[in-house]
Amino acid sequence: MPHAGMSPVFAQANEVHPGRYESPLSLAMAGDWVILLHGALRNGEKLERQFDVRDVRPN
Amino acid sequence: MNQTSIPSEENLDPTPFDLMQVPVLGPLFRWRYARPFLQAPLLLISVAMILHGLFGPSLAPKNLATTLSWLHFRGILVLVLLCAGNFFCLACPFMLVRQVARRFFRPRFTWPRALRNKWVSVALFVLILFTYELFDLWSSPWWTAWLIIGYFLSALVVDGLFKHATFCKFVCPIGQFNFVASTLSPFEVKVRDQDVCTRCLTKDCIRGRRDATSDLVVIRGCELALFQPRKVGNMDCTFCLDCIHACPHDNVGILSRLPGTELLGDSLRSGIGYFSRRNDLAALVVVFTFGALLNAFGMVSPVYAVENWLGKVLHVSHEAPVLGLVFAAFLILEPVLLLGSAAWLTQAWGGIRRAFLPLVVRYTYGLVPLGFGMWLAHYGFHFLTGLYTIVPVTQNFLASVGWPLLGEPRWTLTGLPANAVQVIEIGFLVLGFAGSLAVTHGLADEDSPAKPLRAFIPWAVVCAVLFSASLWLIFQPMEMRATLMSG
Repeated sequence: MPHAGMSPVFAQANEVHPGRYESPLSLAMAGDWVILLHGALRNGEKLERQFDVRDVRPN
Repeated sequence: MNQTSIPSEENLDPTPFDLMQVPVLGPLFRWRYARPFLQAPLLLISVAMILHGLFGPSLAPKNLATTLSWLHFRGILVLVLLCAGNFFCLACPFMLVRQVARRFFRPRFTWPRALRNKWVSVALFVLILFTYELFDLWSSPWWTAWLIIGYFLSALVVDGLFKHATFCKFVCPIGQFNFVASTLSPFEVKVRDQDVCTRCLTKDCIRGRRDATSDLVVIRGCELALFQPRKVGNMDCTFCLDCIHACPHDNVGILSRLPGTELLGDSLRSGIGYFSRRNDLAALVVVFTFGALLNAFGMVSPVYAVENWLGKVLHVSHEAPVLGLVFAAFLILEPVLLLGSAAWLTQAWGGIRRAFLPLVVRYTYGLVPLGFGMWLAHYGFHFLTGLYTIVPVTQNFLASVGWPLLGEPRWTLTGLPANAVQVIEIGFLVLGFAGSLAVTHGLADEDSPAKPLRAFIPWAVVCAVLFSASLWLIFQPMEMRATLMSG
């Protein structure tokens, strides 16, 4: 969430096809979310990406 | 009976507990440099927040500015106000900078008489609440940093130009919040023995202590015009300790009292006047109380439905006008309807002969506990559910400035479970409701000793409506968007 202190959700992504990773993620609250992706490449380099997921609706 | 006296606190609490008698605390507060000693750490933290806000991560949960401002500072502030008193104003970092600046230039002007009230600060309080929602300050480290900078600059400019504690008394919105909330604090800066003050010839607590030879003020008297022997309660008191240091008889302490008693009665209060004649103070209480609900409403799902509906009805896609309407509904329409109806009923049914507006003003103070209960529930929720987030954020900050002293950030640290915190929230709301019922009943009892119930019931209904609204709010699903209106 974009608000400090709101509980983050953590999940491990698994490789389902070569180069394709999937992860179930249960977003606990409606609103805007930010996905932070942390990974390690084969050469040991660290990969970090940030995606905005806006307007998540309540169930 | 227009001007009743406050119930004698001596009768309620014959031997008040004095914080000045507590080991370590007492000597610390007596020390002349206690205030800068307490302000300095907060100034350092403020500088770190500003730097991290401007140059650190743009994601709010990873930034010191947003995490400390919107979680820890607000949470600790309301809890300290509830459990002790206005100790934030004592340790206010803005005043440390202002104090240092005043060594180099002396203010020359006095604050204009027309502005010696709370109207400017009420407007600023509303403006802060409005910009908080409009610009989603909670999600923006950059804007949060500029807000802190704005505070420092405002304090410097206002107190650089105008004498005394003009910024604290007439401008600072945080200060006004603290003044109102501290009417419910269990401690108050107060004289220990009125007889000592009666015999006192110098009145240093207000005039300041002067050097015998040069006649220069060496220890300041109260800069907020609160004359200790006639001071009532915590309103306008910044706990700055000046009166404690200036008193030549060591007759000022930080004494325990029954929280909320100062909201009763209508005696002449030093530096304040009569509560019932202070429309500006009542307006501040309205913003404090109804603003508490409004601020919480801004974080739950229904707000987005209401704003989208308003946007469609008005054919408006900008946030500001829609938000302005929501603010007008909460801060003008709702108080006018609720307080106006209750006052009319109190006159018509309760037989109270006060004029309409003074009656509204008088009973408005009874809503302070409800408002404070809502602020406690709201800020307490964010503070407790995000309690440990300060650890990874600090780890991240130290690593970013090249001192990874605390290791890799542990982002899995969050806080207490939300369902456990909700029980605490309900407790705060119930406490506020009970407090408002007690104060409004006390006011009704003063106004109509023969038939207090008739004067009390309309205000009890107002309290019940606000309590129900608060309870409804905390059970709403939270929703947080960095953009207000979708589509």
